Amino acid sequence: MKGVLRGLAVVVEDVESGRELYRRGFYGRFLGYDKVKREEVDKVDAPLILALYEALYLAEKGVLTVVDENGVEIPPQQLVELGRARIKNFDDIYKIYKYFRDLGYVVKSGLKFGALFSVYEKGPGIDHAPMVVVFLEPDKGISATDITRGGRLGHSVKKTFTLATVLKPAGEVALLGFTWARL
Amino acid sequence: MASDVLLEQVLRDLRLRGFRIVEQLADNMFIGEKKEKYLFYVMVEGVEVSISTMLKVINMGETLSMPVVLALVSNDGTVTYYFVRRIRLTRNVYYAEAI
Repeated sequence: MKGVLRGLAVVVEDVESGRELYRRGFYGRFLGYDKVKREEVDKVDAPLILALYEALYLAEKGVLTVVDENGVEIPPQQLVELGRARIKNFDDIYKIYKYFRDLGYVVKSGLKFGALFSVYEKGPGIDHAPMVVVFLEPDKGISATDITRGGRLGHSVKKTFTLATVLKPAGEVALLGFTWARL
Repeated sequence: MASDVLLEQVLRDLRLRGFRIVEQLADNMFIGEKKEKYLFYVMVEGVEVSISTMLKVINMGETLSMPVVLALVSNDGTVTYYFVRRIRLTRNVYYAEAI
């Protein structure tokens, strides 16, 4: 499968390839559509847009070949360098993305929740509430305000959220879950 | 310790909620009981706690088999409580074969 890097995202123009990626684990988003259900995939006739994290993951897995607009292949390492140059904490965030994906979870953007990622067991539009994951910079501590701010993310998430960080020097991903307590 | 007015506010609030303070483990850590025992850790607004400290508190809760409750106290003494735990994910059964 092939995708074209355009800026910080990758476009899969071939509709059948896009459908397959989406079916495999809700990779990407169809241009002009949101939260497409699995059984509706065959009706969608649009290119698929992959976030840089997704494209890198699929490229590393050998599923996707990323090319530039002239058709020249861009190896995964070059995608990593692009990410590092443009996105803050790219390596740690990609490590967290990979951690969830390697365990079989569906990882989507967390922007609309004011978070890093929204993570689903079954997929967007199927799970009632995603795990809302906030990134914690490794060298930064946690404050009371970080916790209450996290508790206010989205109204459907019942004041439960997850902080994800990468422990140094081991490089291990650690997840801390916070839930409002009515004592 | 008794002179720390913000900590005093947390203890007072818990007593009003029917908790009994079982044991003080550190300046900002104690065991409280109401039906079951909880490990409380006080965080004052504006004071950062390192991740390693947070993990140590969570580990202590796991060792003691008690839920860990963070008592978040505002700079003027209002208290809000959050449970914290380490999440250890297992493989997602819905996409066991997925890449």
